[in-house]
Amino acid sequence: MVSNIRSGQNNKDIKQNKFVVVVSVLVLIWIIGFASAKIIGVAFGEDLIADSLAIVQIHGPITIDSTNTLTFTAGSSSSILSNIEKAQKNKNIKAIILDINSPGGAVVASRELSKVIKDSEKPVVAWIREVGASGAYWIASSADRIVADHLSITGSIGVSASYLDYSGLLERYDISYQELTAGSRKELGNPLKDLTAQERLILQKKIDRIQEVFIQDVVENRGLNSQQVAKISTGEFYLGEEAFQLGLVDVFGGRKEALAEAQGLANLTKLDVIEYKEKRSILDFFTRTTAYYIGKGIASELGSNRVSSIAIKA
Amino acid sequence: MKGIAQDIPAPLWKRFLAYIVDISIIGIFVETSFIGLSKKAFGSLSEKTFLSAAILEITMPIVLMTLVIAVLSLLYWSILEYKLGQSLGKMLFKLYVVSETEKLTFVQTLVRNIPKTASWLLIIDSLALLGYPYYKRLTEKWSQTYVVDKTTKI
Repeated sequence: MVSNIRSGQNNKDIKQNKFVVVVSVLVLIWIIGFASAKIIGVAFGEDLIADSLAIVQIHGPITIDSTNTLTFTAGSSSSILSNIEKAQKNKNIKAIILDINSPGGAVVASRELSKVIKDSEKPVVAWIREVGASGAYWIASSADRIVADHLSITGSIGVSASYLDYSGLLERYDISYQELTAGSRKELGNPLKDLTAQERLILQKKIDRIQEVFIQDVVENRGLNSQQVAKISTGEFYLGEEAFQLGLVDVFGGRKEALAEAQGLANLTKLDVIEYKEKRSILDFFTRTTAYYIGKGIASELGSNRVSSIAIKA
Repeated sequence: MKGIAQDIPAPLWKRFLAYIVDISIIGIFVETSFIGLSKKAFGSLSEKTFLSAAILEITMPIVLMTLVIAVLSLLYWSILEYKLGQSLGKMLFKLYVVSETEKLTFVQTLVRNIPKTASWLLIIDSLALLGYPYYKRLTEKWSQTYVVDKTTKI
C-alpha cells in the first residue's frame, strides 16, 4: 500500500518534471526565435526585399499635418513624403505607385508632394481609384503615368477659398466686434466682418495666381498645350473616360494595370510589392482621436485669433 | 537512458507521425516569429506565384532566418531527447530514444538530430532506415542511439 502511494507520488513528480522541461524548452526556443527575428529585421530590414515596387497611399483630404479619427482620415503630406523618401532611399525598390483616393486639399501640401514626385529618379505611376481630383490630381500629374478607372473622378483643376461669415449673426444678436489692427489688410478674411469689394478682389487675385501655377504645373507635367489646359481648368471634375480624352489620364484600369505599368517602366521581370502605409497603433488611434477633438475645440476657440479663417484648397 | 534487451524498435509509421507532430510544434513556436520577416522577404504572395517566391534571390536575411530556424529546431529535439528521452511527438506515441552505450548524452542527441534541420539531409539520412536492423537512420548509427516503442509488447 505504502509502496503504491510512493510509486504514485513518483509518477506525479516525473510528470511534473516532464511538464517543466517541455514548457521551458518551448519558451526558450520561442524567446530566441522572437529575438532573432527582431534582430534580423532591424539589421537587414532594407535587404529583406528583392527588386520590388512600392505602393504609397495618398488617401483622404491632403493636409500638412495628419488628422485621423474614427470617421475622418486625412493624408498628411509629411507622412506621405516620408513614405516616398523611404521608397526612394531603398535601393531594392525600382518603381513607386501612388495609390490615390483623395479629393485634394491644402495647396502647399499638394505642390510639395507634386515636386517630390517630379524630381523622383525612380519611375512613378499614379493609380487613381475612386477619386483623384484637384490637389490630388496636381500630385498625380507629376507621375510618369496615370492609371484610372473609366468612372474615377479626376481633374477638377481649380482653386477654392471659403470661410464662414458670422457678421450677420453678430448683428442679429446686437454684438459688435472690435479689433485694433496696424495695417489696413490685417483683417482680411476675418469671419466676423463682411468682405469689402476691394478685399474680395485681393483674395480673388491670390486664388487666380494659385490657379495659374496649378495649370502651369499640369501643362509641364503632362506635356499638354497650355491653352487647352486653361480651357478645361474650370474646376469641373471629369470621369476617367473624359479625362482620357482630354489627355489627363494615360491608361484605364486598377491595381493590376498600375502594377503592370510600373513593372514595365522599371524593367522588372518579377512582381514583388511592398506597401507603405501610415503606421497606426491602437494607442496612436486613441491619442489621435482624443487630440483631434481637443484640437478641434481649441481651434474653434482660437478661430478669431488666426491670421485668416480662409481655407484655400486645390 | 540506456537501451535494454527487451526494448522493441519503434515502427516507422509511429516515428513518422511523431515527426509530423514535432515539426508542427516547431512551426508554431519558432516559425511564427518569422512570419513578418518572411512576408517582407517574399513580398505579397497574392501578387505572384509561389514559384516566383521560390526563385527569389537568396539574400543574407533569408540565409540567417533559415539558420536560426534550423538551430532552434535542433535545440528542441536535442534538449528534450537528452532531458526526457523523448520529444513531444514521441511522448504522444510513447516512443523513447535510447543509447546503446552508457546514459544518453547531449552530443548523441545533437548528432542524431542534425539531419532534421534540412529536409534533404533527413531524406538521405532516412534511406538507411531500410538497411539497418532496428530501423536506424545513418546518424542514429553514428550516435549509437535508436528509438523504442514502450507500448508494443512481445
